[in-house]
Amino acid sequence: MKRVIIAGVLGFAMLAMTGCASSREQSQSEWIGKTRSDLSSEMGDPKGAVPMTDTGGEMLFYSYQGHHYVFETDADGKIDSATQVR
Amino acid sequence: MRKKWIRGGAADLQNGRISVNRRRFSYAIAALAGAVLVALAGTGVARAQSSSAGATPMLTLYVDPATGQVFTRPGKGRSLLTTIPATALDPNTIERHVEEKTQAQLQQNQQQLFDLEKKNDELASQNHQLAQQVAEIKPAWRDYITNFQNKFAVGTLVYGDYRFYTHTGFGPQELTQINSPGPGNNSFNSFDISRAYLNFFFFPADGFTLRVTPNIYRGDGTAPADKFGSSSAIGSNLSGGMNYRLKYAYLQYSKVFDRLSDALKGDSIQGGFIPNPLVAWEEDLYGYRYVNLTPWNYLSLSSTQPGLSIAGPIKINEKQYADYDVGAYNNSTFHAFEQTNTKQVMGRLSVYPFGAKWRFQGLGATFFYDYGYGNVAPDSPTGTSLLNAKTGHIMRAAAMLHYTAENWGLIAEYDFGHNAFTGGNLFSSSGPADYFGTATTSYAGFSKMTTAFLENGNAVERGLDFMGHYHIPTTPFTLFGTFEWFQPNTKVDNDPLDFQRWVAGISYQYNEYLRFAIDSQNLMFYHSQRSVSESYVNSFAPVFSGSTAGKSVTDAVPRDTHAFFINMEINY
Repeated sequence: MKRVIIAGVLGFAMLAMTGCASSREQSQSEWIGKTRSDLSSEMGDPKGAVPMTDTGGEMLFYSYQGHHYVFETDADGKIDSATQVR
Repeated sequence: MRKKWIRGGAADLQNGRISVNRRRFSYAIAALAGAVLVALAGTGVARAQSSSAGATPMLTLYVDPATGQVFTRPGKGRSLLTTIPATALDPNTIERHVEEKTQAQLQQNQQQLFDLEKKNDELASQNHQLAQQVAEIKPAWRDYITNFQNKFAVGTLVYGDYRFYTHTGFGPQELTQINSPGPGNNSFNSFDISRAYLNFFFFPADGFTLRVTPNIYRGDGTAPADKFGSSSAIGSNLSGGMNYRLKYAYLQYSKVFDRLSDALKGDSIQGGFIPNPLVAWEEDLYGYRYVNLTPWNYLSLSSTQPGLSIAGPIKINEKQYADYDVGAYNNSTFHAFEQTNTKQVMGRLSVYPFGAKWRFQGLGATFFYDYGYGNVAPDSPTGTSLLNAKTGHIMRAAAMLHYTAENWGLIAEYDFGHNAFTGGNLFSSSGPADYFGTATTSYAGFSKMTTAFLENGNAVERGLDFMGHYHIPTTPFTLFGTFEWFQPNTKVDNDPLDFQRWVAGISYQYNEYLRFAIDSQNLMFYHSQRSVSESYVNSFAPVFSGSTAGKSVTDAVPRDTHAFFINMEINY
């Protein structure tokens, strides 16, 4: 069991280092306050949409014109977090 | 009114006789003159009335005073009435007069038309002004609607599934509101709706959110019929139908610390039926709640608690470095009434050492702790405390490492608990009839063993879980899975109730509102089948009475459950 836990911790540490090395996230503040309908109008359907049970919002993952984005909406369907990840 | 008449026309005039009403004599004269002259002008009969050539022609009229008749020629008994210059009765003059009168009438009509046109222009102008006023009113109307829309939001979240069991067995529910029969019912299958949220959000003021979310639940259980009169009754309709009940109902204020620090901006206070700090958050982190439950939710921890909490992110330079949620709650769940004079506390702290640009992004470490008591009234008999963990303390803890990227996520979780997994939790899908007291079956000994191992007031739980997903690039498909290893009581040697649960499948994102998944869900009690002596069971709690020498619980390891699911999620 200890070996499993140690291996897991080491694995996560490596993931973190890899993730940080490749991190090129950029905030997309111009999308803040817009609706997910606005998003659909411009970018179409997301490649992933996960409802957020606790907030009533959504996480939306988009691939659009060669770039990748992650948006989070609030309970009102308005975007309160927008990041270009690639 | 009496009729006025002039008898005859040109023929009567030629006879020199005209009848006139006496009382309107003077008016008749004038009319008669005009008519006569017009007639004479047209016929040339006026020769006898004409004077010499070159002189102004005259019309001389005579009257018989006895009869009142007027004549154009002198005669017996007639006296001169009047002489009228013909020029005065010139047809041209009359025509001119008529023309002048017509012209005047035309001018009058034109004036009226002009006036009407002017009025029409004025009305058109007024209409234009009115249209402008209406146009000015419209934005206000729109503003009202927009304002209303900004204050109110409605949504729904529906989970549905079809499931087929190649092997059935006792165990916890794979999803809330679904149940499957125990061993011996292979090929059981069912269509289900396991969630149907109706999300109502109201934003009454800046920073305030009111959420009301009813959700379905299955009305399992049997109730006696209602007596109806002295000799009649009505059967119970509690037939396992789907009903609605309150899942969330809380008021949230999300500007608690906005003035204190930018780092605490967005932190909130919630009160009511609120999401507890772990379950809903972990469901969001995992992302596949529509397929399977997260570990502590699968075991025993409800996703909603009545209580009060404070929660929020800690952000520095737009990066989230921590996320916390702590509160005090009823010991009861949201679907039971509170019986205790104590409360439970729960708290979760998630740390993102490298900062998260979006929720869950990157490496995170989370710790959760819950301490509470069984939902039992204070005056409950103390003699049951050893047999019923509900009267002892309950503790749940979880330590997690998680990493979330755009296309994949991985969660490793270690669980630890005290008295946090009862027979009721183990058999939430189905269990032996003996456990529920509805019948005595071949599982009677197994049922008692389960009670002794899990509800002795000193049970210690431990578990290890892995959850993750991987989105296949350029496709709408995502692979996902959950593995859970759980020991319901670490104090039991080779506990026959130790189990592993694994779920694996593929999800298809149809559009932003619809997801489907096909997956396999399995519950495996992994120890080899064996017997457990009753005396060993009694060392945990005296569930077997009388002599236990040489007696044992046979087939102590429950049968595995294997099933295939097709899941659906509708989110709007």
